[in-house]
Amino acid sequence: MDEMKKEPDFKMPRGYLEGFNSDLLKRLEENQGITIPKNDGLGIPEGYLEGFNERLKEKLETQEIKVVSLPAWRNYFYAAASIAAAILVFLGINGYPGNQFTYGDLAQADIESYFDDNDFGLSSYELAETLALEDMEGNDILEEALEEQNIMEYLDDNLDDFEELNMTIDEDEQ
Amino acid sequence: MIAERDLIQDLQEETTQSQAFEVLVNTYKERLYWHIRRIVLNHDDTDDVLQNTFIKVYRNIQGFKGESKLYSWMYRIATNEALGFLKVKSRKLGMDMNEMQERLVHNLRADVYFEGDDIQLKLQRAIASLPEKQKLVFNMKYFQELKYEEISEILETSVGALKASYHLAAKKVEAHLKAQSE
Repeated sequence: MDEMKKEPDFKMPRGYLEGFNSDLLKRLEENQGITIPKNDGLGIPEGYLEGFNERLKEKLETQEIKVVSLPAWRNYFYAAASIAAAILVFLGINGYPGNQFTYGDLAQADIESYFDDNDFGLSSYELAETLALEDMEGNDILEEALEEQNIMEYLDDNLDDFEELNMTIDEDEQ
Repeated sequence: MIAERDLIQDLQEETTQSQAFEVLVNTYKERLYWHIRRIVLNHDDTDDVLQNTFIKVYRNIQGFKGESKLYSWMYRIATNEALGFLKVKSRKLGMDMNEMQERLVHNLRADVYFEGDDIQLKLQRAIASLPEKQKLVFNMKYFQELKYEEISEILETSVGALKASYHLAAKKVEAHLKAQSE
């Protein structure tokens, strides 16, 4: 029994236990990870919200135009025509002084860049709902016209059974 | 507080429209301001987008069918306006959206309406590094403290997907902040 009461052979650094509590707390804080601040630093000018209604009212009044109810497709038609006219005016003012322009002078690139630079608030779904596709030919939406030879080459490369295709066409024509 | 159904009815009635619109603006201007501000970051741009949002609401309220809640419809318009604004701005500056986000955060240093210090700048940089959807979800949940059900209606995304998005976004922001502080 006397041997059991013997002091252990291990030693601890002098003062270790005195500093233990603060070391433990520090370690606990480190392990809690990063806290995301709740304040994002964005500020607002004093009185901004109080004066907002008045400014909004002014903007609404300056933008107020007489709205005439039109069928939806006409809105897009007129929008397209006014965009084309706007581009012509823009080119006339900025690029080619003294010249007369027609719609035919509009380069595809001019139209595309006008659409790129302006936000019309129309999603592709909204356009798809409005544009009538029945009257469109494949070539209307392709940059280069599709020749019969291209079609034949494509079918030659990609179709396994030519006969099946011919049969379908014949059946439809009968 | 006026019930939403009555407010919509008043907004759609010519004789009560202007007064009801005033109520609508007073009710939502602050919330929508902060929603837009956290997307475009700059105050003047926020002012433009906020005004355009209310103008769109005013012009389209007749067509509002009440299939979603009024606030979620307005938040959707505000979100689309703010993202559309950034898209046009980035095109004009010849930048992609990532470069644009970096520029917006960089400009905060000189912004008189940015009251943050280094920690807030790091936070903004971390948020800017998130994909668009995660950024929206994080801002709406962490700062605006919207419920998942509300965010779900605004962003038309399931609550489950939103929870996953938010969890991922918070982890990324934490990791970003930790990396910047080391």
